[in-house]
Amino acid sequence: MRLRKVINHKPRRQAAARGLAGVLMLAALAAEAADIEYLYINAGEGSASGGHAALKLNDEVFHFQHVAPGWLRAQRDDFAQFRRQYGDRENRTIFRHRVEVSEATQALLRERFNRVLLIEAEQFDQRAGLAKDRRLLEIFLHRPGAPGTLALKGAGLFLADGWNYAEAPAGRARPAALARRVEAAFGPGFLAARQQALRRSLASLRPEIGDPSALALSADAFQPAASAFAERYADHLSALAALQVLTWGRAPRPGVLARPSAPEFRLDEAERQALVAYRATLEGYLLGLFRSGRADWGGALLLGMARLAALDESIASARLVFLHQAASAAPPSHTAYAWSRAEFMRAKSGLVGGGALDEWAYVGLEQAANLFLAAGEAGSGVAPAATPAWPAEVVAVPPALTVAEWQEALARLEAYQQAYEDALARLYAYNLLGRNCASEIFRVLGQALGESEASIRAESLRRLGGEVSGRFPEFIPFVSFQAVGAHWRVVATDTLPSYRLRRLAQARRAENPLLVDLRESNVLTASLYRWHGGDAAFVFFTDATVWARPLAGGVNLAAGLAQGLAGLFTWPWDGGGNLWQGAKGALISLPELFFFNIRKGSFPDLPGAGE
Amino acid sequence: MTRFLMPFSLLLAAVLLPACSFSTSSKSSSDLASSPSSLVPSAKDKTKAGFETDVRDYTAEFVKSPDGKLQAFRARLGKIADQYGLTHWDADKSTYVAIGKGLRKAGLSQPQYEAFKASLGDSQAWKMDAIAEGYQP
Repeated sequence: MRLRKVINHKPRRQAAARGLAGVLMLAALAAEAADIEYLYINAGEGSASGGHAALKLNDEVFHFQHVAPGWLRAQRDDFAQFRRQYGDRENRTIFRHRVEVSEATQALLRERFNRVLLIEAEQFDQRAGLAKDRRLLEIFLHRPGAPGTLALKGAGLFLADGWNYAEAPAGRARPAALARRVEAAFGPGFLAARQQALRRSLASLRPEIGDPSALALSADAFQPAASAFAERYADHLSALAALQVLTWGRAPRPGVLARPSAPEFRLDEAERQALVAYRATLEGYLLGLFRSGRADWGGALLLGMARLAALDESIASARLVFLHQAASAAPPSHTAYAWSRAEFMRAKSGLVGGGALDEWAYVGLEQAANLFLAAGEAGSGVAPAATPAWPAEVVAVPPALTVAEWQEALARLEAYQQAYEDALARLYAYNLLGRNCASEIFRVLGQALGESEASIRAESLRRLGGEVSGRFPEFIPFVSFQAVGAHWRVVATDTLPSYRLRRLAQARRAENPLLVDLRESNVLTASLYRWHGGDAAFVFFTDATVWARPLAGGVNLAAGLAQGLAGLFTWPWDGGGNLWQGAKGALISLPELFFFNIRKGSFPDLPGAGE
Repeated sequence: MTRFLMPFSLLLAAVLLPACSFSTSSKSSSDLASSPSSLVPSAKDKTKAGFETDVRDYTAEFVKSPDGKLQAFRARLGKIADQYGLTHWDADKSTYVAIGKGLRKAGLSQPQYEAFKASLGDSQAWKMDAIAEGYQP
């Protein structure tokens, strides 16, 4: 889809006014010119009533999102992904200032923003690890509400829920071909000895709990997350599960492998031979896992064995058999089907003529096959998760500690977890007026440019053309956008209209514009928009009209109030959902009475496969 | 009515104006549904490049950190690889080339570089060769 693009070049006289020094500096920068983009995303009902701000560096968008429980976290998205979410699903218009900078400045900013992400990733990973540890200890202690079992990633490829490593499996062991190769490579009895060693190691596992008084977190210091006890425990279980699958010769569970009958999945001899070669590569890798220093080798072995089984069937049947990854439901879409078919055929043709198949290519084929299968079966264009999780709920047998010892460990863990939570809250608390999505961009930017206010100002002037502090009122997203336009070296400004506005413009070109405007002005007759429960009740769209906004806003206000009123009666059934939505609808209709628009209507179910 | 609504609306607008996007985890970058193009083979090179960049950046930070443990390094690499759908990251040459780039980016001294090359490369020749390849300017 072509975009309406409005480029406003800055008047030359404005550049001249910056003086000779500035011109010379621009000339020097031109030799290694790059650009950055400051993005302002206008208001929307669902998640940002006041708009959003972001910084685009090449294809990456860095921004800060308000997350539960009231914190602000750095985020990095691919621009296409960012636009899909904000511009299409949330139906919001994106405004962009393109700012000319040197390559060195672009790299400097990318480095700083990415460092923030890396620091946060470690700290929040540590937080997630503490939560997992606590849950596991509660399982061990059979606390009320604790499930009693543990979701073990990858185990569900072969094992049913309720698997217990401490119990001997039923049936007769028929070691897999891979098990024989392992024993040939590492000696007879190797697998049994490995299992014994793992059991001993698991029994001696202990949680390592930090001292809350020694906790020192900083938003500027990179500190690798310590390995969580729950992760070490799960790694042991995964390894034991993998060894049991190997030594008992388990086949993948029903449903794990997809065996589609469509003609596109047929393999010619060259494609089949490519899979034969990849099978040998994969088997060699799985053998190597037994020498690996990876703690999570068991999970990799489970996944690899499932793929070996898929490859064996593919090679035997000359039809592509692959790990089946469930795609979530989405509306049928002919374009999603055509797109996913083309992508699958392209991936399949890559089996031959492109050198030896590697994991990147095989996983790409597997994912493309799943997308195509999902699009064909359910009309869904939704991509599966990157790596199939296939968890099974397995019995969590505790390592050898007494109940009193576990209770003591849990008490210490809870104290440490609380201290960690408090420390994170101090670092990352969202503050409407002092620490929000716009102010944080300028704070990090300042960190990249200098250490003192004077040096930041000087470097901002040199590298960006001027300074935007992010302090009042520049922490308001749209004010920050104006400030960037006024102070930075902006060479172009353009607008990426929201999804609905783009579709509306298309329709106006194809049909009678007056009829289109009338039809699409309200949710009752609109063909581009279907009301859904995620949006509060409303009648008129007011984002494309200005003068009629107060009148339409009055009707929308009434609709919101009506939904809220109905919510009083439906409360017992919907948990107050309608009441809340109605109140929200009424509130965001109020500004419309004074020509201010927040509501756009959203499209949360847009498939990911493009238009 | 207007006398009531006007200040209320302005107050509401003043409160809401600076509000930022509220995220749910499903809307984060891990929401691959919003970016299927990053998964398909035609985008393979871009995806691989993204993986290498992430490994490089993480390595550069890790080796500068005073309390990094090798097991934590491997665990993080596994998580980065998982985001790209890669399981056998420890057998993929690109992982070690990216580690080498990270060591270069960290600006280590030669002895530090040699020590990290051996430890992060598991003292295996092919891994250390790949690290050296990535370390080249």
